[in-house]
Amino acid sequence: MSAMTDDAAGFDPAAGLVPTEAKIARREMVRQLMRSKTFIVGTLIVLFWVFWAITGSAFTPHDPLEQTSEILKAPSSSAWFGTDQFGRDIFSRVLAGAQSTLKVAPAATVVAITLGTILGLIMGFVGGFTDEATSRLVDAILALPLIVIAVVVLTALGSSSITLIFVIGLIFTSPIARTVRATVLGERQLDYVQAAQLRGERGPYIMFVEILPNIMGPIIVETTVRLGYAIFAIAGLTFLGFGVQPPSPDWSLQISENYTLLSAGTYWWTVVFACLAITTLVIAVNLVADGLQQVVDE
Amino acid sequence: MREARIYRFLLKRFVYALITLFILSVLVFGASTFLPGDVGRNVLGGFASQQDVDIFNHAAGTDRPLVTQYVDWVTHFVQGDLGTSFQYKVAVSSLLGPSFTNSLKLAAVAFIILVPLSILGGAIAGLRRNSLTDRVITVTGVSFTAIPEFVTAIAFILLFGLWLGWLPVTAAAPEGANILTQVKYLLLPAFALVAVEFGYIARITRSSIVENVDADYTRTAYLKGLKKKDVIGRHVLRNSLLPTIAVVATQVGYLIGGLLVIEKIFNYNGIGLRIFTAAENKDYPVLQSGVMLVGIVYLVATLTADILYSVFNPRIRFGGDE
Amino acid sequence: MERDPLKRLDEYRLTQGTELENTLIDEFLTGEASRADFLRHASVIGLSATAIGAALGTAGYASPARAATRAVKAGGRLRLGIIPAPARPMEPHLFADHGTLATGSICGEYLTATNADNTLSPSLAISWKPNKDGTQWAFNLRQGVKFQDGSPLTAADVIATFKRNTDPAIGGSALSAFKGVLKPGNIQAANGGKTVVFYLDAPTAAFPYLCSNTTYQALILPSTYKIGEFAKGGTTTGGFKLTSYTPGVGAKFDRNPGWWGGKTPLDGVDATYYTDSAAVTAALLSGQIDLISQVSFADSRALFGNSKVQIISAKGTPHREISMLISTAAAIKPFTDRRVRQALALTLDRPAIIKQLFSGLAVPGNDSPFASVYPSSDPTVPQRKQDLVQAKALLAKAGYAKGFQVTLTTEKYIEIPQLAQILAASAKKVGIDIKLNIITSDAYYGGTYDGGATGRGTTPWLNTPLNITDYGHRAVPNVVASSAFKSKGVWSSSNYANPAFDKAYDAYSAALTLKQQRKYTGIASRILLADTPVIIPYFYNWTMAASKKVTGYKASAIGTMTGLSKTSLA
Repeated sequence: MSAMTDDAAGFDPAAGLVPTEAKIARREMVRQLMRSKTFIVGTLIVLFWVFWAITGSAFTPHDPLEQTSEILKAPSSSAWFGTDQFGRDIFSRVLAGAQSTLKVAPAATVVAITLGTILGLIMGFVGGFTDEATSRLVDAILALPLIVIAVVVLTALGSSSITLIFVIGLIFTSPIARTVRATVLGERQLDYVQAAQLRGERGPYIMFVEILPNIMGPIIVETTVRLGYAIFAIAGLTFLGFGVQPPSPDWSLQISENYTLLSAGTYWWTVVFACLAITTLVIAVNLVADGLQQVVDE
Repeated sequence: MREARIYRFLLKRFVYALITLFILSVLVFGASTFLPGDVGRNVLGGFASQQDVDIFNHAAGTDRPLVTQYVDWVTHFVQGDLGTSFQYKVAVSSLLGPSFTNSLKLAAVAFIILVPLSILGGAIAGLRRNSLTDRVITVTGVSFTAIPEFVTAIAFILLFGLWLGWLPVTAAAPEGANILTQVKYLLLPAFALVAVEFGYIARITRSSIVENVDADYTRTAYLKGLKKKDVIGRHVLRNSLLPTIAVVATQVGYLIGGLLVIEKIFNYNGIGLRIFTAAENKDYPVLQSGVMLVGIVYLVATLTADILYSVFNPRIRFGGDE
Repeated sequence: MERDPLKRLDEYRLTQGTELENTLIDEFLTGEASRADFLRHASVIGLSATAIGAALGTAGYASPARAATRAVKAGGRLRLGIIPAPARPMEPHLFADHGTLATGSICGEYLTATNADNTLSPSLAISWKPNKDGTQWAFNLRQGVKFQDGSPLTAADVIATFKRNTDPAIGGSALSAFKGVLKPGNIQAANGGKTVVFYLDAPTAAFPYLCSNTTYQALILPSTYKIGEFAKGGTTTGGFKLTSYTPGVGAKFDRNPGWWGGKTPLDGVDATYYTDSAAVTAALLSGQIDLISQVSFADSRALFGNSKVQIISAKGTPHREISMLISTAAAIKPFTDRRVRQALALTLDRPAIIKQLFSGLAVPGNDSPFASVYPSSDPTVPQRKQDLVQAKALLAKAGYAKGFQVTLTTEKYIEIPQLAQILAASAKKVGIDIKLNIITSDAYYGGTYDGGATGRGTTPWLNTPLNITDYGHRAVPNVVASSAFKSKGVWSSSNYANPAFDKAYDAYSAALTLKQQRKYTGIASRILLADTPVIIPYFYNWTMAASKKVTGYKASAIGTMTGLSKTSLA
């Protein structure tokens, strides 16, 4: 039933590795990754955007926030991607815009992975009533479309990067907890867990020291998959007016600020390049996820 | 013996769904009471006197203990009485009813295009693994999935609505339009949804096909001397469709309740936009019932898929952990 | 046989003219009031067409041309896009947003009508006249008008409508406009029910505007009207009858065959509500609708300069107020120094902003509510212009040579986010670092408006150090000046208090002649330029967009759609 519980990519939760082989396996994994074209290409694109996220506006040809009188100029040799309605250089804005996207989405993913892993470990390992009760709660949260809950909560709390991170992080906790739980269920039957239990180790120790390292593969895959979804969710929310504040060169904000200009088919450059940026980043993250997936599966 | 186990399994699923529904109702109710700001203050505005606000709250019943309010809301909800909208002062059902119907219509049109198209695409890709066709289908799917839905929607409006002039740019057909006209108005938003969802469902189908092509029983079937066409038709496709359908069911919630961005762009009075407006205006009766409705649809869809999957899949074991 | 206009005028002044009318005629003849000012003011005080013609003739102008009635193509239903959708119940006395007032005004009518050029025309009242000091106004009702349910319009209906709008117990949205002007009981029928007399709390020269579509809540409803009936249709007198209303979706109207104004050229109007400006723009460009109730250049550039589209606009005073909270309590000390406030105002290049955000369909504001379009405003007050050198010098003198940091809070509404970004970029040039916090309109206006430690409640729009608030059109500057600028005004986002300004304002609002009004608005405007509690960068025109098929539609600066009853589709 993996396809039903795991809406991410359909990997086999039982593919956990046996601990004695763990180190060798990890080294082998890296070697395989280096041979995976998907993984390499994905990583390179992600690194490109990470570079711009770190340097911000330090190396962009223009100040991404500088307003000029050159309003809505088409792409040319002086402004490669044209200028927007404030005369700002879109090329510089697209490069510098990596920063806000790569700040909020990964932070939200980290929140979700941390909470989801803890919750999933407890559900899978402790089992019984705790598991049943938490599972129903997770089901209930999954029953609501993400954007609906996010909008309701953001309306209530007001939108800022921090609230955005926690809202997306908490919502994504549920699917991750579900995946981790399924993986842990597979691990629980294995010898090393039972040996630890016989030794009289305490629950938290078994969960976090014994089991956790052995399910890192699926967790890493889940992280990359969720990162892609987080970028998407934040883009949608920013489009609706929640999230990053202007004049940030954030990509979704650029699209949201400019898409009303598109109606006559003019000024396409104000939106297209920011779209391409999001698209390349999401595809690259997916490629990395795919590469990891293949290696974990084998 | 197996039948008895199936019934027990179904009963368990059903009870689970009911428990989930209960938790969902608590969540929805809890979330809306946790929204900051006094209900009466929000409705009457900043200049209203505290006395008027208190009177409003008393009339609306929001000054009662939370448990009483919750029980009151649930009992009325179950009886189909959704209350009165704070914002528009009309019955909540008169707002949610048409919106929900609209959402169902759009989801139906999207499904009718999406499901055959993506299953076909995924199947072709899976059967011709690593061929050029596979690559094209996979890359196209992934690319569209990686473009935010509002971007695809705007691009379609520009291309098919304004430049080519083939399709209407808003989703609501004029009142009293026949079904064909209604479908025509829904095509552009449906295309935008298909673009976002195609890659995902095709990918699931593809991996499911690949799994079944490699499975032992397929090899056995070949060894038994069955023709490739029969093996694929009778075994591979049939077995691959089940997980795909299960995944499609998980998308029902999104396609009915999560389309707020698409509904906004195509000016469509769907349930997503209705919930969004209610949240913005703190119209709790509409907000609570709307969110609950969407949750119920999702639960019913996944429960149905679960049941279908379990009953028709001979390999499933009953009674264990999921 | 044309008689000498001067003789006619003298005759009028001696026999019929009230003091107010005579003063206006004098002001016009001595050149104090321009032709446009004269016509506007004449329509307010109810000067008769004969007297207007005579005065114009004396001063050497031709009489105002009667609008040529040309044959229009009848028939068809106009498809209207209203944006944004009504956010409140469809109940006239509660109207407070564009969606509700635009919808209501398609089928409803007012005593008087404000035209696109800010003159007044008769509507359900055919003429009106004040007493000597402007404390009593008599409106003669049009005879033979019927509500759409067949009952005749009477003085009782007008009295009931104004009672509903002025009674604090009912809590309508127009209470602030009638505050200090009209109490619920002070309306009486006279002249056998053909006239309604309003007994005002204080002299109010602009009262006829308060009875027009500018006070869109004062839509005349039958005396038997019960709250909740409006959305069912048939309760109004207008050229169209509301036949269906669906919240968040749209409204439908059919021709009212019994309309006093004759037969409307259109068979009906189908209004659809929109929430997204890109969607409504695309709908007009693709021919799905014929008219958009409001468009903004900043949002819908595609419609401007497009050969398939006509832009219709009406001059008015919709504007934005950039308020700087004057408070020693908070950590926003810079704004307590008026030199800092002046400096921020001096950073804006207003003509450039008007070009960028409105494509020229606006006039520069001068940081005072006395806009240049009002006849009562003093035209000699110098216009504030961008001056970065002076701004820097002022900041240095105030001790902020290195600038300071402040957060600007405002709402995501039409062009305001763009204005906020332009302001931030302009302020940066003199070292003021403005961080933006743009929230939904609902959040911006949420919370309480009074009480609490500051007496200003909790709402962001009255309590943030720097913010931008949207203001709609007003026929006269009084409500904005007294509520947003006078000491302890209920809309005073700046917390400004200056007795000298209050005195000048009070003198203005009691003044009945243009000359006196200008004298006091001149004093008040100069005080505001020096103090600068609020920056008003522009007053923009109400702007709409239509397909080329739409003919004869005249916009109103408040956004009411009464003009549809004279519109046709070519």
